[in-house]
Amino acid sequence: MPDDSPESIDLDRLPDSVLTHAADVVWVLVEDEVVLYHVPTSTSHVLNPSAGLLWRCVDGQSTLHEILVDVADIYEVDVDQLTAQVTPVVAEWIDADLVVGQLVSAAPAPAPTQHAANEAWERLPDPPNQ
Amino acid sequence: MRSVWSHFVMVGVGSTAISVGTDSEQVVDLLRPWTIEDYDVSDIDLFDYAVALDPPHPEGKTGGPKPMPRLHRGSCVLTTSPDPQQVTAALLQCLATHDTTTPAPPGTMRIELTPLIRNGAAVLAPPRQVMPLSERRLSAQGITRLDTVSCLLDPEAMTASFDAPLGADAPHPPVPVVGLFLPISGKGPGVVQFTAGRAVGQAMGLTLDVVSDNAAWHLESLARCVERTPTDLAPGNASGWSDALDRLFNRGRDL
Repeated sequence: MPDDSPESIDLDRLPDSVLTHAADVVWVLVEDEVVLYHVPTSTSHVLNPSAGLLWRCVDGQSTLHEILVDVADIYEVDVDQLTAQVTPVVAEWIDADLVVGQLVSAAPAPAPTQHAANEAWERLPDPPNQ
Repeated sequence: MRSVWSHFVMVGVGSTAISVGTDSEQVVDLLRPWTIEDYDVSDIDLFDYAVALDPPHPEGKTGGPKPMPRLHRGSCVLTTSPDPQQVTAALLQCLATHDTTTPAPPGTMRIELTPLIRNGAAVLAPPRQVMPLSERRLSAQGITRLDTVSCLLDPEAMTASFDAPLGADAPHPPVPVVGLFLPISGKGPGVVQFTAGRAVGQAMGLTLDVVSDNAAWHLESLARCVERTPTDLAPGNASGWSDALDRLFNRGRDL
Protein backbone atom coordinates (compact mmCIF):
# COMPACT_ATOMS: atom_id res chain seq x y z
CA MET A 1 0.00 0.00 0.00
CA PRO A 2 1.50 3.34 -0.98
CA ASP A 3 2.44 5.83 1.69
CA ASP A 4 0.86 9.18 0.83
CA SER A 5 2.73 11.40 3.27
CA PRO A 6 4.60 14.21 1.49
CA GLU A 7 7.88 13.23 3.08
CA SER A 8 7.70 9.82 1.44
CA ILE A 9 7.25 11.08 -2.12
CA ASP A 10 10.03 9.95 -4.38
CA LEU A 11 10.64 13.06 -6.46
CA ASP A 12 12.21 11.03 -9.23
CA ARG A 13 8.92 9.24 -9.62
CA LEU A 14 6.74 12.26 -9.24
CA PRO A 15 5.16 11.90 -12.69
CA ASP A 16 3.62 8.65 -11.48
CA SER A 17 2.01 10.30 -8.50
CA VAL A 18 -1.56 11.41 -8.17
CA LEU A 19 -1.53 14.97 -6.82
CA THR A 20 -4.17 16.53 -4.63
CA HIS A 21 -4.45 20.12 -3.43
CA ALA A 22 -3.63 20.26 0.27
CA ALA A 23 -6.68 20.63 2.48
CA ASP A 24 -5.42 23.79 4.14
CA VAL A 25 -4.77 25.63 0.89
CA VAL A 26 -7.39 27.86 -0.71
CA TRP A 27 -7.04 29.32 -4.16
CA VAL A 28 -8.70 31.63 -6.61
CA LEU A 29 -8.25 32.39 -10.28
CA VAL A 30 -7.47 36.07 -10.86
CA GLU A 31 -7.40 36.86 -14.54
CA ASP A 32 -4.88 34.30 -15.78
CA GLU A 33 -3.00 33.85 -12.52
CA VAL A 34 -3.80 31.58 -9.62
CA VAL A 35 -3.47 32.95 -6.11
CA LEU A 36 -2.95 30.39 -3.36
CA TYR A 37 -3.15 30.94 0.36
CA HIS A 38 -1.61 28.45 2.74
CA VAL A 39 -3.52 28.84 5.98
CA PRO A 40 -1.04 27.30 8.47
CA THR A 41 1.77 29.62 7.40
CA SER A 42 -0.42 32.60 6.40
CA THR A 43 1.48 32.71 3.15
CA SER A 44 0.26 33.80 -0.27
CA HIS A 45 1.61 32.40 -3.50
CA VAL A 46 0.97 33.71 -6.99
CA LEU A 47 1.25 31.25 -9.85
CA ASN A 48 1.92 32.56 -13.32
CA PRO A 49 -0.43 31.43 -16.09
CA SER A 50 1.59 28.30 -16.92
CA ALA A 51 1.92 27.14 -13.34
CA GLY A 52 -1.68 28.17 -12.74
CA LEU A 53 -2.84 25.91 -15.55
CA LEU A 54 -1.00 23.00 -14.01
CA TRP A 55 -2.50 23.81 -10.62
CA ARG A 56 -6.00 23.79 -12.06
CA CYS A 57 -5.37 20.42 -13.69
CA VAL A 58 -4.53 18.81 -10.35
CA ASP A 59 -7.68 16.85 -9.60
CA GLY A 60 -6.79 14.14 -7.10
CA GLN A 61 -7.38 11.46 -9.73
CA SER A 62 -4.90 11.89 -12.59
CA THR A 63 -1.21 11.25 -12.31
CA LEU A 64 1.12 14.10 -13.07
CA HIS A 65 2.21 12.23 -16.18
CA GLU A 66 -1.38 11.96 -17.42
CA ILE A 67 -1.88 15.67 -16.87
CA LEU A 68 1.32 16.52 -18.68
CA VAL A 69 0.46 14.31 -21.63
CA ASP A 70 -2.77 16.26 -22.04
CA VAL A 71 -1.04 19.63 -21.65
CA ALA A 72 1.72 18.64 -24.07
CA ASP A 73 -0.90 17.55 -26.55
CA ILE A 74 -2.80 20.82 -26.31
CA TYR A 75 0.27 23.01 -26.59
CA GLU A 76 2.04 20.69 -29.03
CA VAL A 77 5.21 20.41 -26.98
CA ASP A 78 7.36 17.43 -26.14
CA VAL A 79 6.05 15.69 -23.03
CA ASP A 80 9.48 14.68 -21.80
CA GLN A 81 10.70 18.24 -22.03
CA LEU A 82 7.58 19.49 -20.31
CA THR A 83 8.01 16.90 -17.57
CA ALA A 84 11.58 17.98 -16.99
CA GLN A 85 10.44 21.59 -16.60
CA VAL A 86 7.41 20.94 -14.44
CA THR A 87 8.64 18.30 -12.03
CA PRO A 88 10.79 20.68 -9.96
CA VAL A 89 7.86 23.08 -9.71
CA VAL A 90 5.64 20.35 -8.35
CA ALA A 91 8.43 19.26 -6.01
CA GLU A 92 8.43 22.76 -4.56
CA TRP A 93 4.67 22.66 -4.16
CA ILE A 94 5.02 19.45 -2.20
CA ASP A 95 7.85 20.90 -0.17
CA ALA A 96 5.67 23.91 0.66
CA ASP A 97 2.77 21.63 1.63
CA LEU A 98 0.60 23.04 -1.13
CA VAL A 99 -0.11 19.64 -2.65
CA VAL A 100 0.11 16.08 -1.47
CA GLY A 101 1.04 13.23 -3.75
CA GLN A 102 0.37 9.53 -3.80
CA LEU A 103 2.65 7.24 -5.76
CA VAL A 104 0.63 4.81 -7.84
CA SER A 105 3.30 3.18 -9.98
CA ALA A 106 6.91 2.19 -9.67
CA ALA A 107 7.69 3.15 -13.24
CA PRO A 108 10.85 5.27 -13.51
CA ALA A 109 10.54 8.86 -14.59
CA PRO A 110 12.94 11.52 -15.76
CA ALA A 111 14.95 13.17 -13.00
CA PRO A 112 13.74 16.67 -12.17
CA THR A 113 15.81 19.67 -13.06
CA GLN A 114 15.87 22.72 -10.87
CA HIS A 115 15.70 25.16 -13.75
CA ALA A 116 12.04 26.00 -14.15
CA ALA A 117 10.99 26.11 -10.53
CA ASN A 118 12.00 29.62 -9.68
CA GLU A 119 10.53 31.09 -12.83
CA ALA A 120 7.26 29.27 -12.89
CA TRP A 121 5.88 30.33 -9.58
CA GLU A 122 6.70 32.87 -6.98
CA ARG A 123 6.26 33.02 -3.29
CA LEU A 124 5.04 36.26 -1.79
CA PRO A 125 6.56 36.91 1.60
CA ASP A 126 4.21 38.60 4.00
CA PRO A 127 4.34 42.31 3.22
CA PRO A 128 6.71 44.25 5.47
CA ASN A 129 3.85 46.11 6.94
CA GLN A 130 4.69 46.23 10.59
CA MET B 1 18.77 48.23 29.51
CA ARG B 2 17.66 51.78 30.21
CA SER B 3 14.60 53.05 28.38
CA VAL B 4 14.86 56.33 26.52
CA TRP B 5 11.40 57.22 27.80
CA SER B 6 10.89 58.78 31.19
CA HIS B 7 7.54 57.04 31.63
CA PHE B 8 6.42 53.58 30.69
CA VAL B 9 3.02 51.96 31.04
CA MET B 10 1.55 48.62 30.03
CA VAL B 11 -1.88 48.96 28.48
CA GLY B 12 -4.46 46.19 28.27
CA VAL B 13 -6.57 46.27 25.10
CA GLY B 14 -8.89 43.31 24.85
CA SER B 15 -6.63 40.40 25.76
CA THR B 16 -3.47 42.07 24.51
CA ALA B 17 -0.89 43.89 26.56
CA ILE B 18 0.87 46.71 24.74
CA SER B 19 3.75 48.75 26.06
CA VAL B 20 3.72 52.51 25.71
CA GLY B 21 6.70 54.72 26.47
CA THR B 22 6.33 58.46 26.73
CA ASP B 23 7.99 61.64 27.86
CA SER B 24 4.75 63.00 29.28
CA GLU B 25 2.83 62.42 32.50
CA GLN B 26 -0.21 63.66 30.61
CA VAL B 27 -0.08 60.52 28.46
CA VAL B 28 0.31 58.33 31.54
CA ASP B 29 -2.83 59.92 33.00
CA LEU B 30 -4.67 59.54 29.70
CA LEU B 31 -3.95 55.81 29.59
CA ARG B 32 -4.68 55.18 33.27
CA PRO B 33 -8.11 53.55 32.63
CA TRP B 34 -6.42 50.84 30.56
CA THR B 35 -3.17 50.54 32.46
CA ILE B 36 -2.49 47.05 33.80
CA GLU B 37 -0.03 45.92 36.43
CA ASP B 38 -0.24 42.14 36.07
CA TYR B 39 0.34 40.67 32.68
CA ASP B 40 1.72 37.55 31.14
CA VAL B 41 4.79 38.21 29.04
CA SER B 42 3.43 35.91 26.35
CA ASP B 43 0.42 38.20 25.94
CA ILE B 44 2.45 41.27 25.05
CA ASP B 45 1.89 42.45 21.52
CA LEU B 46 4.94 42.53 19.33
CA PHE B 47 4.47 46.22 18.70
CA ASP B 48 5.17 48.83 21.28
CA TYR B 49 4.18 52.45 21.05
CA ALA B 50 5.91 55.61 22.16
CA VAL B 51 4.59 59.13 22.41
CA ALA B 52 6.91 62.12 22.47
CA LEU B 53 4.95 65.27 23.22
CA ASP B 54 8.03 67.37 23.86
CA PRO B 55 10.77 65.76 21.81
CA PRO B 56 14.26 67.17 22.30
CA HIS B 57 16.41 68.50 19.50
CA PRO B 58 18.52 65.85 17.84
CA GLU B 59 21.78 65.34 19.68
CA GLY B 60 24.25 68.08 18.88
CA LYS B 61 21.70 70.22 17.05
CA THR B 62 20.32 72.83 19.41
CA GLY B 63 19.44 75.29 16.69
CA GLY B 64 16.81 74.91 14.02
CA PRO B 65 13.14 74.15 14.38
CA LYS B 66 11.97 72.18 17.39
CA PRO B 67 10.86 68.64 16.55
CA MET B 68 7.09 68.18 16.55
CA PRO B 69 5.18 65.86 18.88
CA ARG B 70 5.10 62.37 17.45
CA LEU B 71 3.76 58.87 17.82
CA HIS B 72 6.01 55.87 17.22
CA ARG B 73 5.13 52.25 16.77
CA GLY B 74 8.30 50.27 17.13
CA SER B 75 10.91 52.05 15.07
CA CYS B 76 8.30 53.58 12.74
CA VAL B 77 7.05 57.14 13.22
CA LEU B 78 3.31 56.79 12.80
CA THR B 79 2.35 60.42 12.93
CA THR B 80 3.69 63.85 13.76
CA SER B 81 1.66 66.96 14.46
CA PRO B 82 2.21 70.37 15.98
CA ASP B 83 -0.89 69.64 18.06
CA PRO B 84 -0.11 67.26 20.97
CA GLN B 85 -3.80 66.40 21.29
CA GLN B 86 -3.80 65.10 17.75
CA VAL B 87 -0.91 62.80 18.61
CA THR B 88 -2.59 61.43 21.72
CA ALA B 89 -5.83 60.97 19.75
CA ALA B 90 -3.87 58.97 17.18
CA LEU B 91 -2.47 56.82 19.99
CA LEU B 92 -5.97 56.03 21.31
CA GLN B 93 -7.14 55.28 17.78
CA CYS B 94 -4.22 52.94 17.08
CA LEU B 95 -4.47 51.13 20.41
CA ALA B 96 -8.15 50.40 19.77
CA THR B 97 -7.24 48.34 16.70
CA HIS B 98 -5.41 45.82 18.90
CA ASP B 99 -8.64 44.63 20.52
CA THR B 100 -8.91 41.24 18.90
CA THR B 101 -11.44 39.92 21.40
CA THR B 102 -14.24 41.21 19.22
CA PRO B 103 -14.23 39.29 15.95
CA ALA B 104 -14.96 41.03 12.69
CA PRO B 105 -18.74 41.11 12.12
CA PRO B 106 -20.05 38.61 9.55
CA GLY B 107 -19.34 39.72 6.01
CA THR B 108 -16.38 41.85 7.02
CA MET B 109 -12.66 41.23 7.33
CA ARG B 110 -10.02 43.04 9.32
CA ILE B 111 -7.25 44.26 7.11
CA GLU B 112 -4.11 46.16 8.02
CA LEU B 113 -4.68 49.23 5.92
CA THR B 114 -5.11 52.86 6.89
CA PRO B 115 -7.94 54.95 5.43
CA LEU B 116 -7.29 58.23 3.68
CA ILE B 117 -10.56 60.06 3.19
CA ARG B 118 -11.53 62.67 0.63
CA ASN B 119 -15.06 63.85 -0.11
CA GLY B 120 -16.50 61.08 2.03
CA ALA B 121 -14.70 58.26 0.20
CA ALA B 122 -11.66 56.30 1.32
CA VAL B 123 -8.52 55.00 -0.26
CA LEU B 124 -6.89 52.32 1.90
CA ALA B 125 -3.11 52.26 2.13
CA PRO B 126 -0.34 50.54 4.11
CA PRO B 127 -0.02 52.26 7.51
CA ARG B 128 3.72 52.03 7.59
CA GLN B 129 3.94 54.10 4.44
CA VAL B 130 1.14 56.61 4.88
CA MET B 131 1.24 57.30 8.59
CA PRO B 132 4.48 59.29 8.32
CA LEU B 133 3.07 61.47 5.52
CA SER B 134 2.73 65.11 6.42
CA GLU B 135 -0.76 65.89 7.59
CA ARG B 136 -0.40 69.41 6.29
CA ARG B 137 0.30 68.15 2.79
CA LEU B 138 -2.57 65.70 2.93
CA SER B 139 -4.89 68.48 4.07
CA ALA B 140 -3.75 70.61 1.16
CA GLN B 141 -5.04 67.83 -1.10
CA GLY B 142 -8.31 67.71 0.81
CA ILE B 143 -7.37 64.37 2.36
CA THR B 144 -7.88 63.36 5.98
CA ARG B 145 -5.99 60.39 7.35
CA LEU B 146 -7.60 58.31 10.06
CA ASP B 147 -4.85 57.29 12.43
CA THR B 148 -5.66 53.64 12.58
CA VAL B 149 -3.51 50.72 11.52
CA SER B 150 -6.38 48.47 10.49
CA CYS B 151 -10.00 48.66 9.45
CA LEU B 152 -12.97 46.42 8.82
CA LEU B 153 -13.56 45.93 5.11
CA ASP B 154 -16.95 44.90 3.81
CA PRO B 155 -15.99 43.45 0.43
CA GLU B 156 -19.55 43.25 -0.88
CA ALA B 157 -20.60 46.79 -0.05
CA MET B 158 -16.98 47.91 -0.58
CA THR B 159 -17.06 50.02 2.54
CA ALA B 160 -14.64 50.30 5.42
CA SER B 161 -15.45 50.93 9.05
CA PHE B 162 -13.09 51.78 11.84
CA ASP B 163 -12.74 51.00 15.50
CA ALA B 164 -13.82 53.63 17.96
CA PRO B 165 -10.78 55.11 19.69
CA LEU B 166 -10.18 53.90 23.24
CA GLY B 167 -12.58 55.74 25.50
CA ALA B 168 -15.01 56.64 22.72
CA ASP B 169 -18.42 55.03 22.44
CA ALA B 170 -19.34 55.24 18.80
CA PRO B 171 -17.19 53.96 15.96
CA HIS B 172 -16.70 56.02 12.84
CA PRO B 173 -19.46 55.46 10.31
CA PRO B 174 -18.48 53.27 7.35
CA VAL B 175 -17.21 55.01 4.23
CA PRO B 176 -17.12 53.76 0.64
CA VAL B 177 -13.74 52.50 -0.50
CA VAL B 178 -12.70 53.79 -3.91
CA GLY B 179 -9.12 52.56 -4.08
CA LEU B 180 -6.48 50.30 -2.60
CA PHE B 181 -2.78 50.84 -2.27
CA LEU B 182 -0.83 47.72 -1.44
CA PRO B 183 2.69 47.48 -0.09
CA ILE B 184 5.69 46.50 -2.12
CA SER B 185 6.55 42.86 -1.69
CA GLY B 186 9.62 41.95 0.28
CA LYS B 187 10.78 39.91 -2.69
CA GLY B 188 14.33 40.27 -3.93
CA PRO B 189 15.84 42.55 -6.57
CA GLY B 190 14.31 43.22 -9.93
CA VAL B 191 11.12 44.83 -11.08
CA VAL B 192 8.09 42.68 -10.48
CA GLN B 193 5.00 43.40 -12.47
CA PHE B 194 2.11 44.38 -10.25
CA THR B 195 -0.62 42.13 -11.55
CA ALA B 196 -4.13 41.64 -10.24
CA GLY B 197 -3.07 38.26 -8.86
CA ARG B 198 -0.14 39.80 -7.05
CA ALA B 199 -2.46 42.47 -5.64
CA VAL B 200 -4.78 39.79 -4.26
CA GLY B 201 -1.81 37.91 -2.80
CA GLN B 202 -0.51 41.06 -1.14
CA ALA B 203 -3.92 42.00 0.22
CA MET B 204 -4.40 38.50 1.60
CA GLY B 205 -1.17 38.90 3.55
CA LEU B 206 -2.66 41.97 5.26
CA THR B 207 -5.84 40.30 6.48
CA LEU B 208 -6.10 39.23 10.08
CA ASP B 209 -7.96 36.39 11.77
CA VAL B 210 -7.82 34.11 8.74
CA VAL B 211 -8.52 30.49 9.65
CA SER B 212 -9.36 27.41 7.62
CA ASP B 213 -13.10 28.06 7.84
CA ASN B 214 -12.97 31.57 6.40
CA ALA B 215 -9.81 31.55 4.27
CA ALA B 216 -11.62 30.82 1.00
CA TRP B 217 -14.11 33.59 1.67
CA HIS B 218 -11.29 36.06 2.40
CA LEU B 219 -9.42 35.15 -0.75
CA GLU B 220 -12.42 35.17 -3.07
CA SER B 221 -13.70 38.40 -1.57
CA LEU B 222 -10.36 40.12 -2.04
CA ALA B 223 -10.23 38.93 -5.64
CA ARG B 224 -13.60 40.60 -6.21
CA CYS B 225 -12.40 43.75 -4.45
CA VAL B 226 -9.34 44.00 -6.68
CA GLU B 227 -11.49 43.34 -9.72
CA ARG B 228 -13.94 46.11 -8.84
CA THR B 229 -11.68 48.67 -7.18
CA PRO B 230 -8.75 50.63 -8.58
CA THR B 231 -5.67 49.09 -7.02
CA ASP B 232 -2.09 50.23 -7.22
CA LEU B 233 1.29 49.60 -5.72
CA ALA B 234 2.06 51.94 -2.83
CA PRO B 235 4.72 54.47 -3.79
CA GLY B 236 8.12 53.63 -2.43
CA ASN B 237 8.89 57.12 -1.17
CA ALA B 238 7.03 60.04 0.36
CA SER B 239 7.35 62.28 -2.69
CA GLY B 240 5.39 59.85 -4.83
CA TRP B 241 2.28 59.87 -2.69
CA SER B 242 0.77 63.18 -3.70
CA ASP B 243 0.30 62.29 -7.37
CA ALA B 244 -0.49 58.66 -6.60
CA LEU B 245 -3.30 59.61 -4.24
CA ASP B 246 -4.79 62.06 -6.71
CA ARG B 247 -4.69 59.43 -9.43
CA LEU B 248 -6.33 56.73 -7.36
CA PHE B 249 -9.04 59.00 -5.91
CA ASN B 250 -9.82 60.24 -9.41
CA ARG B 251 -9.96 56.72 -10.85
CA GLY B 252 -12.30 55.67 -8.04
CA ARG B 253 -14.49 58.73 -8.58
CA ASP B 254 -14.73 58.05 -12.31
CA LEU B 255 -16.02 54.51 -11.86
